[in-house]
Formats: sequence, C-alpha cells, structure tokens
Amino acid sequence: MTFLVPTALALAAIALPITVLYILKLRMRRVPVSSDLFWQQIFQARPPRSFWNRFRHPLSWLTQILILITIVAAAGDPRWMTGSPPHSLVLILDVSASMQAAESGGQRLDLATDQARRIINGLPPGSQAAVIAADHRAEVVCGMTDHIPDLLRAVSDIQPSAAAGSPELAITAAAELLGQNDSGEIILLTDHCFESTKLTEHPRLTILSAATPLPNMGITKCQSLRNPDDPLTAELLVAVTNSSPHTAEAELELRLSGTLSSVVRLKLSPNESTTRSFPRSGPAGGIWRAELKNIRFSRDADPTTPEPDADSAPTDALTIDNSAVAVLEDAPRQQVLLVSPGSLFVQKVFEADPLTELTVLPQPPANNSWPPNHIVVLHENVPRQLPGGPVIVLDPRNDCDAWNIRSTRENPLPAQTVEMHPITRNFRLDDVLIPAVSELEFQLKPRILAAAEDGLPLCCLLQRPQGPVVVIPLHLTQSDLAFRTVFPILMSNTLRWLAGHSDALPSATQAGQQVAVPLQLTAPATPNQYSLLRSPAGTLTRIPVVPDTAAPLSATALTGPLRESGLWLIEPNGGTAPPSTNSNSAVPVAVNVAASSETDLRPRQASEKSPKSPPRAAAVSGRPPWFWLCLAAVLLLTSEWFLYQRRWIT
Amino acid sequence: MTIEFAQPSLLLLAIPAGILLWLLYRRSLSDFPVRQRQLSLITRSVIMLLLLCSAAGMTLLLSSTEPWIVFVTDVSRSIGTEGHTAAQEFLRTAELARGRRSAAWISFASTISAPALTPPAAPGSTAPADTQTNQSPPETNIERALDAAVATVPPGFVPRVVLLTDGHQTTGDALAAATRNTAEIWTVPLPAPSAPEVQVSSLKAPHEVREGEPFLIEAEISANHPDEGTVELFRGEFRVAARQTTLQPGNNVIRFEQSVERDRVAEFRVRISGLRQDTLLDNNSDLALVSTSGKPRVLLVESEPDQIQELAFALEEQGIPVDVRPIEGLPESLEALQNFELLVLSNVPATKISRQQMTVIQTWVRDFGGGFLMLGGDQSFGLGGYYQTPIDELLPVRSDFEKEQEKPSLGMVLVIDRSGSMEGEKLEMARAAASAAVDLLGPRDQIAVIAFDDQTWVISELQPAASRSRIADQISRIQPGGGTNMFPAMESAFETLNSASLRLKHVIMLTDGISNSGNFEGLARQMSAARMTVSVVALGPDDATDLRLLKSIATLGRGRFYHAEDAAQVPRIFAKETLTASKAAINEEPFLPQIIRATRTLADIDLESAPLLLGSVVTRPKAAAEVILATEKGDPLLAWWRYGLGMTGAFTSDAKNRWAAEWISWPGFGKFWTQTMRHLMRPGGSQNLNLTVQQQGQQAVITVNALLPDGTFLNTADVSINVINPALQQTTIPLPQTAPGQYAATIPLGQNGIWNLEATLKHSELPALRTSRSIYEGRSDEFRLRPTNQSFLQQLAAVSGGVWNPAPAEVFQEASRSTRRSVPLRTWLLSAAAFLLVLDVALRRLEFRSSMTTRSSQSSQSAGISTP
Repeated sequence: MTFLVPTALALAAIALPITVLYILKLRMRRVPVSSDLFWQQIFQARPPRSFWNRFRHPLSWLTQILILITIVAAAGDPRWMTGSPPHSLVLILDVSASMQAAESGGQRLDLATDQARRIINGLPPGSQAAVIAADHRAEVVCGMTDHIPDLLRAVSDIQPSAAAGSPELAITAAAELLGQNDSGEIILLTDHCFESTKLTEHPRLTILSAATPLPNMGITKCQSLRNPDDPLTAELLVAVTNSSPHTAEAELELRLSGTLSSVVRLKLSPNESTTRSFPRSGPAGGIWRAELKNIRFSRDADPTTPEPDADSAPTDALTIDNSAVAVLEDAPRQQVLLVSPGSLFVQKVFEADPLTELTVLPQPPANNSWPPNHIVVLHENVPRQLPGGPVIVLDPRNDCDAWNIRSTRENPLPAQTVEMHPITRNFRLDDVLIPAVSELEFQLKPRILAAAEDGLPLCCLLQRPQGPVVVIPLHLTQSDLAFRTVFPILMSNTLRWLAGHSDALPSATQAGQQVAVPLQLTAPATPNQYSLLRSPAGTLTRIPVVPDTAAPLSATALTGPLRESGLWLIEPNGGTAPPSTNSNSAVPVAVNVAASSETDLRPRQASEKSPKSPPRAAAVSGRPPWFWLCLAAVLLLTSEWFLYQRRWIT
Repeated sequence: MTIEFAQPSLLLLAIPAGILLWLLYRRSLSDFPVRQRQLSLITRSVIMLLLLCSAAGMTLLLSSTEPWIVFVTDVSRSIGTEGHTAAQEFLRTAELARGRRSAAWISFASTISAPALTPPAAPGSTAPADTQTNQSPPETNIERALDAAVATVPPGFVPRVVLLTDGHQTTGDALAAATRNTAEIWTVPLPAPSAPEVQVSSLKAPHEVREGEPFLIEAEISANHPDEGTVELFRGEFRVAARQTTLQPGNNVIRFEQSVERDRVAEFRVRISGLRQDTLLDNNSDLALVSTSGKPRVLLVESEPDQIQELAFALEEQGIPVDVRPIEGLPESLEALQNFELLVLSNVPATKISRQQMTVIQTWVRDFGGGFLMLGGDQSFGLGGYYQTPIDELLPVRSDFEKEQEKPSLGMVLVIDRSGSMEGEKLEMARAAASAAVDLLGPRDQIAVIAFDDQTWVISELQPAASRSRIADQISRIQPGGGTNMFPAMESAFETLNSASLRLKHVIMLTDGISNSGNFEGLARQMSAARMTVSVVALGPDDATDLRLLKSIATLGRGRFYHAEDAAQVPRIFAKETLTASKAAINEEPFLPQIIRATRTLADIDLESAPLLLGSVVTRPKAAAEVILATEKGDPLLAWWRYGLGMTGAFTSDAKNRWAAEWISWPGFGKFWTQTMRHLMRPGGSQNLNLTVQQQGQQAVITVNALLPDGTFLNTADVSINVINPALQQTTIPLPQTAPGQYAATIPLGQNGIWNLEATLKHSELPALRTSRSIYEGRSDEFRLRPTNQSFLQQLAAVSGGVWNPAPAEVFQEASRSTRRSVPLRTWLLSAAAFLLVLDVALRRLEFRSSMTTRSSQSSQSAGISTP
C-alpha cells in the first residue's frame, strides 16, 4: 500500500495532544454525597499513583485514536499497490454519430462514458491521463493530468457529435500526448462503426466496445445542385440506406422551404441502398428538408444473423440520420446591358429571360463608361473599341477593333451547326430565313459555331484577353431569326455560357467539417469583426470574420467544426442583439450526418470489452479507499458520540 | 470562485447524522456545563460535516488567468538562416523573462516534435528527426502544430501558443485550427531568406482549350532584388517565345499568348536565365500542361516515312489528321502519346524501340484506351524481334508457332562471347537470347551453341531443336571466363555447319569486342561461299576498329549487323534473327484477301473487289482475337481485339508499294483504312463528361460532372479514375457520387512529375464515357521564395484573440481570458477535521467552569467530592 499524499500522515502527530488529554488529571467530577466520612477513609487507604498510572479511560482514548487514524489515512489517500507502476493513459471516446444509437436503455455514448469513468477511477496511484473526443477530428478535452475530478468532469462534459468517426487522428494525437512514455496506453472506447483496418497494428492501443449490431435506416446523401447549363433547373439527390438484416419500409418526405414537395414510399431489402433524384425548375431557391418517417423493419432476417431480442420487433436505432437538409441557392441573375437602336423584338427576347436584369440604351455610353459586371449586347451599332468583359454582337454594321466588314453575302445556305457547344445546344438554322449576312474579317481567329454551306460564319466566338465576344453577323431586320424560337434559345444559351458558373459552396456539408462561408457585408469589415453563428438547437456563438482586402464589403466567416446536424445560420453583420431567425441576411449552412459508415450500426470488427493490462488498482465498487475511510470516520464519530453521551465510555 | 461536489448526494447524510448527534445531545448523561456540551456538539458536528464534504469530493473552482505558453517554432525548409537566428534570439530573450511561468517547446515542419518542458538549445535541435535528416516531404503544416500545441496544455491554465514562423503553410489550414481551438495564438514573424534569389514561382495556363483557341500563359517570377533576365517559353523541346524582362522585387507576371493547333496535350515550360544574381538555379523553371479537344489524330511511325505517304494522304482525305514520323519520332512519354487516338507502327523493328517506349505504349493502350495497329513488313511482328516484348503482348496475333513442314530446315550456330567483360547483365541477356532462339526454331531445325573466351567451348553440339530443355540447360551453364579470342570459335562454327546436311545455315555471333586478331574477313567469305550466312551482334564495343571489322564480317557473310548499346536488346535481336533466318515468317506470294468474319466496320466496303496483296507476315491469331480477313492459306491478314481499355489490331501485309502496290490504287483503299482505324481508335472525350482537378498541396481533388445528352444530371453511374503516376504505376480509384451529376474523390500526389488521369463513367443507359487529363505536380511550395506572410499571421492572431509580433517578455503576461482551475479540498478538510478532533477531546477532558454553569446546583460545592 502506498499513500499519494504522504505529508498528510504528519497529522498523526495530533494523537499526542489527544493522549495527553487522557493522561492529565484535569477534571474532577463532582458527585453529591451525604457524608464524606467514608470517603476520607478510602482516600487515606488509597496509595499514591505514578504519572503513567494516571492514564484513564483507555477505551475512549482508543476510540479517539482510531478516529484520528481513519482521518489521517483518508488524508494520505492510500492505494493498494498490486505491482503496477504509475501509468500514463489516453482515453479516446468515440463521439461520432453512431454513438448516439439507442442501446441497453441509453445511448452507446452513455455506456462509453460510464466505462471511461470506471477506468479513470481505477487508475494506479501516481498515474496521469488525458481524454480525447474523437469524431471526424480529435479534440483534447482534458490534457495530461493526475487530477481525477478534472478527468471525470471532462468525460461528463463530452457532447455527442453528428460527424462520422475516424479515429486515426485521435490515435495520432494520443501517441503525441504519450510521447516517449513506454508504459503509456491508449484506450479507444467506441462502437467500431468505422472503416479502418489498421488500428489493430498499433502496439499501445486497446479498443473497447460494448456495442451490438443494431438495425438502422438512414439518409446517407442529400445534395442539391443547379444545372450549370440551365440554372433554372435544379435537382435534389437523396440516398437512403437500409443497414440491417431486415427488409425496411419508410416514407421519404421532402419539403422545400416548408412546403411539402414529395412523399416517396421506400421498401429496401437488407443492406440495400437507393438513390432518388428530385428535379425542380424555377429561379427561386430554398431549404430542402428530407425526412424518413414510419420506419419499419420486418422480421424476415437471415436466420444465421443474431438477433438481440427475438420477441420485440426491431426498431430504428439511430434517429439523427433520419433527416437531412440541403440549401438550394436562388438562380443567379445576370445583368445585361442592351445597346440597340430600337428593336422591340430583340429587347423582348432578353426581357423574357427570367434570370436577366435588362437595361436598354439607344447608344453606347459616353467615354466608354460601361457598367461593371454586365454582359453587353450590341445590336447594329458597334463602338470602335469593344467594351471589356463578355459581349454579344448582333448584326454588326460597322468596323471595330475586332473586325472589319468586308462585304455582305446574300442568301447563304446554312449548314448544320458546325460544332457542339453549350451556346449552340438545341440551335438549328434549317428553316430560318437569312437573306443577308455580313462577311467579317476578324483580327483574331474566331471559333465557328455555325456556318453557311460555304463556311461563312453565321455564329462565332472570339476569345479575347479582355473577355469573350459572341458574334452573329446575320442581318436581323431582314431575317426572321428574331421571330423564331431558336433566337431566344440561342440568346439564353449564350447568356448562360458567358455568365459561367462560380464554384458555389456545396448545398450541404457533412457534420464535423469546418466551413469558410463567403459573406456580403453592409459595411466594410473591421479587424476584429465577428459574425454570429446559430446552431440548429438555437445556440449562438461568435465566429471570426476574415475581411477580403480586395473587396471591402466581402469577407469570409470561419466556423468551428459543425458537429450538430441541421440548418445553421450565419448572421453576417454580427451585432450585439440576437438576430431574428427570419432575417433575410442570414446565410444558411446545411449540415447532415450523411455517412453510410455511421448509418451502419453493426460493429465492423470484434473488440474487447474491458481493458486487459496493466492491472488496475483495487477500487471497491469504483470508489477509492479514502472515500470509505471518510465514511468509516463518520461512523466512528457517530458511534463514539452515542457511547459517550450515554456514558458507556467516559 | 465556486465550490463543486463530485458526489453531492453524500451531503444528505449530514441530515440524519446531525439529527442523531442532536438527539443524543438532548439525552446526554454528561454532567458538563451546558455551554461546554453545546460547544462539544458543535465541534463534533463540524468534524462530521468536514468528513462528509471530503467524501463528497468538495472542490474549489477558481478562475485563473495564468497562461501556459507553448512555443511553436517553424523549422521547415522555407526558414533560412536569418529565420532560425531570429527564432533562437526570441526564445532566448523570452526565457530570461519567463520567471515561474509554465511553458513547453515544440518544433514543426511536416511533422511535430515531442513537446519539451525545458527550452531547447536551438530551435532546430528539437526538430522532428525526419525533418532534420530531410527525409520528410518538404511541407509546413501549421494546423497540426497548433493542434498538437494546444493538446499539451494541462487543465487549469489558459492555453497560449506563441507561433514563430514565416507564415507560409503548404498543407493544412491554420485558420481552421485557430478557429476550432480555444488557445490564443501569438504570432512572431520570422524573416525570409535574404540571399539574392529569383525563381519561377508558378506557371499558369488553362487546363483545357479548344484547338486553335488563343489563350494566355502567365509566368509568375518572384525576386527579392532588382534584376534583369531572359524569360523563355518552350513548348515541348522547342522555344516558342523569349522576352528580355526587368524584374522588380516581389512578384512579376509575364504573359505569353499561345494556341494549340494539333497536340492533344501540350507541355509548356518557362525558364528564366541570364540573371545577374541568383542563389539557387533549379527553381528557375516550371511546367504547365494544356489539354485540347478536337478531331481524333493518328500517329503513324514508319521506318521509311516516304513510303507511307499514300496511306497518310488517304486518311487526311477522309478527315483523319495523321502525323507521320520516322522511328526516332516515337514518343517517349505517356503524355506525348495522349495527343493521339491511334498509334500505327509500320515496319518498325523492336530493336529500334526502347523497353521504356514499349512499356509506355502498353500502358497507354491498356489503361488509357489508346488504339494500336501494326502493319506488316520484313521488320514487323516476329521479324521485327517483338517476341516476348510488351508490344507482342498487346498484339492479337503471335509469331511463335510451329514451322510448317514444307519450310526448309535450318541449322543455326550461336557463337557467344563469354569473356570476363561479358560478366553480369550482358551474359545473362546472352543466355536469355540463346534460349529464346531455341524456342523459335522448329523441331526439324538444328542448333549448336559455342562459347568462347581465350578458348573455344562447345556448349551444345549441333542437334535438333526438339531437345529444347536439354539445350536450354546447357545454355544456362555458360559462365564468364577469361580473354577474347573469337576466331577459333568462328572456325568451329564453320566446321560444324559445313559437315551438316541442311538447306539453310546461319551463324549468329555475339561479342563485346575483338582482342585477338584473325582472318575474320577471309573466313566470312569462305562461309558465304559455303552458303552460310553470318550475322553479328556487337554489344557496345567502344573500339571503332572492332565495329568496322564486325560489320564487315556481317556484310561479307551476307547477314545483318546489329550494334546493341543496351544488353536488353540482345534477346529481341536474336529472336528477329532466328525468324528471319528461318524464312518462316514471310509469305511473298500474291493472294486475295479472304473475309473470315463479317463486321459492321467494313460492311460498306466491297472487299470482294479488293485487288491482290503481294505478301504478308505469317502469324497465328491469339485465342480471343477476331480475325476479320485472312490470306488464302488461312493466316491472319486483319485481326483485332480489345486489350485493356484499348483496341489493338494487326494487318500482316503492308500499306506500301512492296506488298500493297495494287491496293494503293484501289478505290476502297482510303475507306478501308479509315474505317479500320476508326474502329481501333480511342473514343473521343465526351462532351457530357467534365473532369476538373484542383491541386491542394500534396493532394488533388478530382471532380467529374456528368450530364445526360438531354442536359439533365447523370446519376447513379459507376465512375472511376485511372491514375498513373510519374513512375507509370497505375491505381484505379472509385469516385462516389457527391451531388447530382457529380462524383468526386481526393487522391494523394506524392511524386513530382506528370500525372495522367483517365476518368471512366459507366451507366446502363449510355456507352462508357471517358475523359482524360494530365496534371503536373511540381516542386513543393516550400521552395518558393516569398516574403514573410505577415497578413496571414495577423489574421491568425486576430481570429484567435492573440497578439501579432509581441515582444518576448510580453508573452508571459496574464491572459485576458480566464479558465477554471479546480483545487481539491479533501486534504484541507481532513486536516481541519483532525485538528478539530483535539478540541473535541479537550471539551470532554477539560471543564471550563469560569463562564459556564453546570447542571449541579451550587449546593454540591459544599458537600461534593471530586473524583478523577
């Protein structure tokens, strides 16, 4: 046995004054008697006593000493040594989504934290430990310490995560914490629902799992995307997996911005996955919510598969993967400047495009002051110097820096579209009346997208360093192209292609990831600016904003790991008052479990159920010896009080 | 300050305990004064309470602003001497101001050192071992260093990281680490190297352009001093632009306008030279790859390019661009072959192609779906020495087959130099070549093997080649010996064949030099007169005189001379020689092509009216090959099959004047070849499949976007990517679907050089779609010359609540934020209980009468007896 606080044993010196108090004849007891004649005779016959014979009431003294010994021993924090040296331990708790599965009346994480507490309380004397929470990343929730309450508190404060589990990072972090300590051990408390086959090669690692195979059906994918070639159309992709040995049925309910969009009945065979896509058209975006409801498992399992309980019907063990969200961005609108002498038909074509914000000018702006971020459409009147950026030229009637008009060709025979290109998708000139076409001599070699029979360009593309130019040299006023459906198709294709599509954020992110969200601010960002991040549960936290030095009103908000699944909101402008959830400025970030490894609640490998080595310090029912000594002291004090007050001992 | 109990429920025991104490007090038989008994009760109660609080785990939670400082020092390769010195000085000064503050020290580059609790002698002395030995990849991972630093801080302290770095991370995201950790990050900028340096930081070009479409190539040149130099742009091996440039300190961007007309993958390299001051020279160039999409192209390699012009013209007329090159123009690299959809070898011997080129061709066909066609000639198929080569493996026909009975029997003598200079790979190749030659002979052919050094050794007597295993066993025992005396061996060969009754007699001599003289030319003439042929293989002799003599022997012997610089060519040469000598492989008799299998590829070609062909190479089809046309004797004329992802074909006659003179003037000539080649060509990249690659440090994020022909997203497809690294090692990685029509994965890039990627998409409703891309993984950004990234370090400090560029003494100041430190009170409580126990006992043993009254009335004072 050893004492962790050996200096407390000095308190045993208190036994000395206690003993002195039992030796000294300091108190005389008064007893009323009728006469002292008899007592005087006794006193005269009583021999004198030595100092040591004056020690009285040994039982009482012994009791006090016993009480003192228990108190001193408790203060010394005794531990039984069974031969194990001080130990360094890193406990890794798997907090991934699958640990929230219901098991044995609670959650798997509860079982793991209980086991963690038992391990901490049973540490050999002088040991140090650390606690790491592992999901997608590794978070050291308590660094190396020998203070058991801190470790226990850290374990109790651990929160579950909706992220997928990947313990390699945590094991690496644990090994770094242990450093060169040869007696160090790493214990991973997990349900082993992750894909990693090399963990068993780690020499200091013990994997403990009390998880049993559980049935589960969940959403493993939920993403939405606008068609880059046709931004008016979008699609939602949802994948559902049945990770169980039973046939599973459920209803997949889809809502967009709260409005019910679709309900699909699913019936999946054991271990089957299904992927469904849901198209949508229109410029408006919204928030997709997919939810699995009424999940039922039938009992047609493979007889060889062990069933935890043969009598009750299997139930869906994990609920956080039964719902998912995705953000559908509004279709990007494009600003278009039309410079036309007054062709109503051309103007109407652009006005009819739902993604175009059209401005019409009769003449090119003075001093080449073209508005930024516009696609310029020049009809007939072309300035000497073409503007920078993307340009569409219809029926050019004068020379410019990109071409000279050589001649006018009459009645050319259009051929098939020469080249497959996004601009010429669904574009045909077969029945279009083309009485005249300008023959242009280009400064740059054009890419011919449509040509006449003899190769005369009818639609071509110039790739300038300042921006692309699409030229249609048909004489529109003489042609019926502007009245044909191919013309709006051509213009729509051209606008989409010239606008391009930026690399938008994914519509949904897997839980546990950190996201850098571009923000548009209402005022230039200050150096220490923060935004507010609202979790799906409503918790508000401040997140830093990194300003964009090139654009004062642009910045990037950096989030920490988003461990909760659901819809997060970022208020770009921060502020001291909590933002309204209905704020139009809030940027939504969709976070889902969306991991087939977490939806499958069946442990991939067998694990141990309890630590194997080194032997743990004895602890009765998980309590250290000092605890029982304190209670023993309380009991002794109470008992001694009773005996003294009833004068059984004096 | 708050108080916390680990098991607060234990405090409930105080209630029954207190009640019991009080009840017993009330029924006490003690005769002490009331006040003393009350005091005793209180004392005992307090002791009880102290014990229960101890058992309940009473802990004091204090708010602490004491920081625990972790010094994290960047020791990566981008830190020069000035940086190391500045870091060392900072740490030394900080140590003087540390006092009693707790601290730890960590060094990092791509890996992290173990934390040290004492200051290092020098920052680099505690660097991770693999960084110190330069074995780790040259990276700076600030994110990992920050995570590791925060993990070392024990509970009860405010974590503070002091990061000494130049701010150039090459992997990881330090801002993400700063955001998710709760530590303050104080950043100390380290100075950049000051030696005069100019480097090409990057070369940017679009990944994909259309044929003929102009585009800009941007070269970013970094300099830390004013200088002048010449910036050259190369496309492949040719310089296409050069510009004299004045450089300013900082980044200088030079733009070139280019276009790609014919190449599928164009390699651009920029180089700067002629600088006045430059410390490192190997960072003065960079490379970029530009892919183009356009018409499918054919590469036609012919040993005599002039002879194949009719075929090239016919293909061009049919709209197939053809690139005709001599043998020297055969590409050496995979990315060069990627410019084409079909490779045609016309009468090209294997002895002119290196092993590396053959491997590249095989990889390109098998893994990238390239098409391959071999046209016949006297240097093709087995006659070209392709036996047991990678090219032989991908052909649909084979050359090693049983010789026909009516062919004349051959007697062959192999004369092999086994002198000391042949030791090692040379002799090993010679043995392999001899064994291969034995395999290629017919059972009626006869072979002898003679080895020589300064003596002549008959390894195997002239005997039928049917005894292959015994002959091979004898060949395997050839060991290197002494000097070189070839003449007696040549004489022995002559005598051996002279006494044999055979229709064909051939000698193959292999040597790496002649040391002893002899009448070689006279003997060669004698052998020629005896209707023997002599071929000579010179294995790399440097002596020109020897080469001339050996060549003369071959010429006089009416054989062939080969000068092999690489021993690995010897087996191919021997195979070629054997087949050539046996005259088994060529059939030079006119014949009409016979249709064996109808195919849609040639459905509208009137092959019945095809004219005569005047010869072909005799081959046999492989098991899975499709024989479309054959000779009148049943030998394959046109055969093809699928090899990996590609199609390969064999046309055993030729497309030149030698055997196809009448075909050239046939009206169906162009159409026949056009349709045959289109059938074998690699399909062009799909318009509906878009492959993007985003390089992030040592990784590349591959994204494939796929649309159906109607423009809607293509979902639930089976998408994979074939990745071929610069060492031509291949890996296939599946790309799971991540969004509508989108499939993505991340691949590690561990080697510098060109990586070739081929994405394949399979869907039940579509034919397989493919698209490819080449990317260049260049020098790590660790070697880029850049000034200290102060703005990044300022951001890092700002988002974490730290300080940028603090003075060394400032790092130990109290933290602005606090943390909770728990102080267990058990020992204190139990100590107090122990001390109170003395008072408790004293209150039993001592009577304090002066201020207390007793139960006994004062009447007991007169008659009372005191007893101890």
